[in-house]
Amino acid sequence: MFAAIEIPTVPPQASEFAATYDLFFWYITAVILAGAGVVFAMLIAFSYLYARRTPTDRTPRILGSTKLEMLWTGIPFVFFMSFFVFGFKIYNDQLDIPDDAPEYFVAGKQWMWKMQHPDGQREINELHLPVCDQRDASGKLTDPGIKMSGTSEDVIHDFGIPAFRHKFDVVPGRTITVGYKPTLIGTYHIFCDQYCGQGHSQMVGKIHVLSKADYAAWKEGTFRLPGKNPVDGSPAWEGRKLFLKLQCNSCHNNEASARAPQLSGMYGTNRPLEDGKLQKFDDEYIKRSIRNPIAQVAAGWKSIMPAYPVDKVDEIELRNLTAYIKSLKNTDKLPDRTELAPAPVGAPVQPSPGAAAPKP
Amino acid sequence: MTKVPELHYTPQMVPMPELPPEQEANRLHYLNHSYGIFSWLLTVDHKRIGLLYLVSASVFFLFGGLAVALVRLNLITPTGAILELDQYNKAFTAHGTIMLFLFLIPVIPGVLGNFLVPMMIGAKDMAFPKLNLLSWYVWMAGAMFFVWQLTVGGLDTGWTLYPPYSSKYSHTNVLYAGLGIFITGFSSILTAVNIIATIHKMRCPGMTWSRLPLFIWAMYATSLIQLLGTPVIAVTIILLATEKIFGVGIFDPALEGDPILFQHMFWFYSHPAVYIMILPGMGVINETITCFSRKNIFGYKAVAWSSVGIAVVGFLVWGHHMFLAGQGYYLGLLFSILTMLVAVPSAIKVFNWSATLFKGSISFEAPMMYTMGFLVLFTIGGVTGLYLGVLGSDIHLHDTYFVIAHFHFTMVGGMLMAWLAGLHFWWPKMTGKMYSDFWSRLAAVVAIVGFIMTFIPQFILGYNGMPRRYPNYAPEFQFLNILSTAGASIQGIGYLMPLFYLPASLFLGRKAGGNPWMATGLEWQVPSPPPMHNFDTTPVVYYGPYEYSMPNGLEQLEKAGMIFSDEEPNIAHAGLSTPEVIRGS
Repeated sequence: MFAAIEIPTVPPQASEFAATYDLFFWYITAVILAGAGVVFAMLIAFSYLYARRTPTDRTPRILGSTKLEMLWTGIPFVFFMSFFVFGFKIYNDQLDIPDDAPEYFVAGKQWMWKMQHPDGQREINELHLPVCDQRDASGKLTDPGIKMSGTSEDVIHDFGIPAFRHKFDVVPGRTITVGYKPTLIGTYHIFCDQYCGQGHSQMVGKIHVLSKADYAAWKEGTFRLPGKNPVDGSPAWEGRKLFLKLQCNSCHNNEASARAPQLSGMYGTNRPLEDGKLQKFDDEYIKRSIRNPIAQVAAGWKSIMPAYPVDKVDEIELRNLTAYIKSLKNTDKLPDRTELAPAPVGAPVQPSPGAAAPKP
Repeated sequence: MTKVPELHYTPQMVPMPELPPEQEANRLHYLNHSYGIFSWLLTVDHKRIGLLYLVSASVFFLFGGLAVALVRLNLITPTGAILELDQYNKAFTAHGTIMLFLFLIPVIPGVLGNFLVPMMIGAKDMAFPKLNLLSWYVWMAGAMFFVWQLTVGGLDTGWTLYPPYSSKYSHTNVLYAGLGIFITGFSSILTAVNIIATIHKMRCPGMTWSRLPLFIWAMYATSLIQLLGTPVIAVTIILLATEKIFGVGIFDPALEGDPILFQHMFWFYSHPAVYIMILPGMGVINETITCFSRKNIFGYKAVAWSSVGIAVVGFLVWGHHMFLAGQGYYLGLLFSILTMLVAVPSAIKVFNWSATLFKGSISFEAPMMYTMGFLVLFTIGGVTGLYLGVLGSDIHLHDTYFVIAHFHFTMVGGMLMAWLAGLHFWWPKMTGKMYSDFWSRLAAVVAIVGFIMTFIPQFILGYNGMPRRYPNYAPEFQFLNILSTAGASIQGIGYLMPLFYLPASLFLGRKAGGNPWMATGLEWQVPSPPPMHNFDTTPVVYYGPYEYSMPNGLEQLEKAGMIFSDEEPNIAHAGLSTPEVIRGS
């Protein structure tokens, strides 16, 4: 049935707020355990000490005690107010979002989360974030963190991240802004926390907190989990679309009859040219190969690639193609000759109509 | 001094003088004075109406229990064991709506309130007996219509009915289900009117406000909330219907409406509604804890006024359900402070009840076992509410299983236990029969143990982020869900057991007699089952409702300033059972 009995105890403390939250949570827990403990101790002690002995036990006529009433009114009231004050403080702290924090956007709709990064990358049900690790001399976090604005396209949803100890309702017709300061690299749950219909429990996702360097690479589209396409909106994603639009994959593909070399996993390697020299497969080499391919043909291949001058592939598009080729790992396959437009990251991938039926 | 017999022991220890068997067999009481289905369906006797509510509320409790059986069985696996997504959503909505609107809100006011309020204050019936019957019919009409809608298509919005989902996106019978709830609300209002009028106007001589049993104080506070709050939910449902039918933009942002407005209006009723549910339960606890520890309630005034305090402040805290909804910063602040305030009276009550046990003489029959269960479980429920009422800590716990665990501890561990305590306490009075001591105590233990096993894991699930209303969940939550379902099965057995031994007591139980628990209170001074009009002569009350420790003998009573020497003859003294009272015509 299930491999091991797993009892989750405390979710990871993946944000700055999570740490202060947990402190407050355990403070309340300690106080209420003590208070409930007093009550339970009274109940147990009195049940034992004063259990009925004879059917005609006499009991004293005790009507009350104003002093005790004031005591057990005043002491709980003081503790409850301490909860309020402490809670109000941490509530305020998480509302305090620096103005220079980069702004992210999330839109909930039945039944998915659409996220957008400040530079335009788009994700569905996944969110990659850079970790906040800049601290000053006293250990206080100086990173501005990120700003997240959210809304809904249909019914009320709630964007909840237990590892950050945070959630907020996303309401149609309004945009609400919150802030996060992720402090722990890792992958965490996103849950929809406001009932929204049939797919409410399917509306879950993953937050990936990456190191700052990894996040920068991810933004470009060159860092990603194996088998995934470059993130929507990144340069590499634009490059992939262009790769297909320009039909580069008519020669640079995975078939045995391909007329052009493989590109996966080539970035950073040294490739032999037909004149015997070794060429490092770097950004400049990629750009030259697109602009003027016959100038450095790879060893063993015919010089048949057409040139793409600036009026066919402008500088931005060139950069995007370069980012895409750079992002291709060994394990990535070039897109098939007949593959249609690439699917967004996180979406289930439909087989293209022209592709061969998968073997049973 | 008048001709009142002298007693050498506390009156409650005196078994009420019983009629000789042939007279007892011929005694007319409220159950046997008339027969036939119409004598029940057209009765205006508050006691019979109480029994009508008992039967129907128990049936609806079973329906709500069936719904949750489906829910918890489905949650055994992370991908849903027995239900499709839509079916699950209808099942949990059915569970919530049935349990709240068709059971928790009406059960104690309808059953125990109707049966006992007139008797406890020395009256012959409610102020408006025909209105009382109408109240039951309105409730049955609304409830049956609602259940019918649940079965022919269901409702999948959750009991909270939030738009825009409920107004524009749900494919279920939101309008008709809302109509059912709308109709049952009127029953609430009519019962409340009746109880308030009865308590104000029909107290017997000597029954001052400070001599009222605390159950009456609790019913009074409950009725205030019902009267003032229920119209708001009625209007909210009307507005939702207006939006759905006429396309008028009230809550739908696409039509320039505001979905948060619905939440404000809904919770303005629904938060006081939870106090409608719990206050009668607290009232019952006052009665059982004093009887089974044979002591006066500790701090009568504090407990009485805390009921009123809860009712009043309970109307001011609804926004604590909306801290994350976008209601605004200052509103959140205000509601959080007020929520901390409303927690204080409940804390006072719990301490007072515990102190009532001090130096008592405690026995643990079924009513007391449920009472102790209440004290433990309601305390846990109450303190876990503090996490949710505070602005900062609610963020992580909102709409998770932590909230579910919290309100089940207060509603089930609190209110349901109190209901069962009351049912078991007054069953001998209502039926004249005693049930099995062994089976009733066992059922209490099974229910309480099952309850703890069901809901403690849910606190852990909630803290780890498992959201509410999820048919599928992350795989690491599976073990705790299985534990919770196992506990729910045990709990269910505990609730099903009374369905056997209570009806069995009608045929096999021994005769209870007028006062099997040796309790104080006017309802215990008449035989069981009570006569048609409760009392053969109007009682006169000279002292408070919980005088379990009354001094012996009349001189002592006079010395204590508790009775006076110019009493009238042949009048029943509250707490002093005299033969003249029993053998009325």
